[in-house]
Amino acid sequence: MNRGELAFPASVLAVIVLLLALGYFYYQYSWTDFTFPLGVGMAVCVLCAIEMSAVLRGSREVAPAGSDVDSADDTREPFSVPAAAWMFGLVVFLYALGFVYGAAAYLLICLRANGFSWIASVTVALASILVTWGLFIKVMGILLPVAPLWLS
Amino acid sequence: MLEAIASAAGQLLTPVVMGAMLLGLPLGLIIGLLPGLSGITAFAFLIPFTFGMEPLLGLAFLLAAYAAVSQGGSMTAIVLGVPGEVPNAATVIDGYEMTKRGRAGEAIGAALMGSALGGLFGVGLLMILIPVLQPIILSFASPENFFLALAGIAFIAVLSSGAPGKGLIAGALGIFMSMFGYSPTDGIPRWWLGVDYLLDGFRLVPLALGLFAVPEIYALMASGKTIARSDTVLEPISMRQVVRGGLAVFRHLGLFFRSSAIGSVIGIMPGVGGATAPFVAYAAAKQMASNPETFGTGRIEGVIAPESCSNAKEGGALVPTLALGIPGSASMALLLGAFIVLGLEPGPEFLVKHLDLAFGLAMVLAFGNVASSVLMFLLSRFLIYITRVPGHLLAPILAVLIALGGYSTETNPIDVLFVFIFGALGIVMVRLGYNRPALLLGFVLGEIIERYFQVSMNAYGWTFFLRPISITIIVIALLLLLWPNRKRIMLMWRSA
Repeated sequence: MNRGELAFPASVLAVIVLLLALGYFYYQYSWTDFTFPLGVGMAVCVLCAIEMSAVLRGSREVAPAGSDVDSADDTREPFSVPAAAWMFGLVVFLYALGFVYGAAAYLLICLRANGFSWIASVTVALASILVTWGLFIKVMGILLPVAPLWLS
Repeated sequence: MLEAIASAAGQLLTPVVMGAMLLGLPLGLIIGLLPGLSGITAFAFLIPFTFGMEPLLGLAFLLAAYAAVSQGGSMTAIVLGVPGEVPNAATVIDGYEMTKRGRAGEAIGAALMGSALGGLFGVGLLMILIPVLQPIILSFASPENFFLALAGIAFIAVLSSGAPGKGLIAGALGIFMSMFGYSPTDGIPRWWLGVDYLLDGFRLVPLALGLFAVPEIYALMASGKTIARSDTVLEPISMRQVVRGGLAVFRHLGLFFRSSAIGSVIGIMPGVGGATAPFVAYAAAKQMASNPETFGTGRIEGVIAPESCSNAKEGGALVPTLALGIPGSASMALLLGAFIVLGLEPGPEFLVKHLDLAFGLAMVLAFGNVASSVLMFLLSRFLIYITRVPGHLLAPILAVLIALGGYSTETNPIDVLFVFIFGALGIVMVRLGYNRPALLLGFVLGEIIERYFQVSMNAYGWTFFLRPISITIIVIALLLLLWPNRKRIMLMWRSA
């Protein structure tokens, strides 16, 4: 049994129950505002409970291949922590250095760390400044934060 | 009416108006190619350039660019697995799979032909309906909109037919997520947890980008390989390959007309959630197919359905904007602003005073759809080389682009954070086999269903579902859902 198969519906169920409890006891929403979310939330909880019991019984759904209809694909490549770190690390760069310089620094460091030459990495970083500052800010007038976000 | 059509054609075929359209097309394509930037961005960026222009000139410029945006978005969806705008997310499911199997040319051909013909279908319908439209739209009140949205929700079951339990969890979770923020009827903020951003609930663009783009970028980053798998022979994109894809639309004419009709009807209805139309068309295509289990593995029908629907929707969305002054989508709301800037006032009077202009705009949209398809075909020869770029180089660049796209919609940095939060959810869903389109469909329609249900209850009481059009919608939705299983149902009926 894949632990994720059980952990995901369990997490969803826990979060929904917590939110419904918050809505009822803490925020004390009126029935007009609460009936619909309560109904949908209960439906999610029941569906998650059914899924969890199916996983525990070992009778999980086996669906045909395909990115959005398949059940857990056991042949999928294992989860890559470095890839996830690089992927989500972009947020840190943008927060620390702003969108123009943060994006450029991220590309420079990420490409160098993945074995690309200095020339290629610097070229891509400069191209990103051209896109963020030139295309977005100057041409399209979209005010990307140039200064670090923690300063604003 | 013929006089108005002839007058519209005469006004369009002038060098100045044609020049404005040809200028708008590439600008629209560039915006469409940037993930997250949509028709709204295109209008917001381009409307200031139309100040002082003649109305037809300004609107031709805007609409030509608008028609091209969707084409750009579908290209990135097919080639990179990154939807250019929310409706293009439906194209990712099979289009990107085709690219990974070395059939990008076919997918692009099918998308371009489907989009161009779908756009023409929508515009044709627009031209037929313009004179008779007002009573039709006005007969759709909140109960009818509620049932239309409910019919859309029913397609979650179809989308998740491979793994129904997980699909239903995803769909219901999407509906629940739509209930954050101000409630639709009395404006009480729900579960905002003291965070101002959550007062307006979760946003659609970060959700779509996160769910669909981030998992593909993560996969590229993790493998470091090119998009086109190394074990497939990657045929260079050629006229032959694209034509093969384009001709596939003619081999699936029933699918094309069904998808375009779905797009037009959803587009015509103001406030029914045009972003969901391609998903509904995709689900309907899957529902009607002889072997639905192969959808999601690179079927060309999975590209034709959302693409033809998406462009047909735009023609439909123009209908209420022109005829009633009610925007059929968020982009149309901005277009409405452009009308006012240019000294025009859409609504019933508009059709009486400016019928030729209305037909002219329909023709611009048709021209834009066809011309942007041709332009995109020329560009696609270069786009295909992107599928040969190593994942370690392409993934960080795409990550930066989706961050910029996520920010640009509302110029809010928290949107970028949510792109990656939803991205983490998307990665988990992909790995565990949960259905992402079902979640997105539930998210878009959840809020609409709640709002129209509350309004219908207040206005009509519990009997709101007894209105004739409501009953018709329920019957049609049930027929659509049950028709493919009719033999099994008859068998069960007889054995019972």
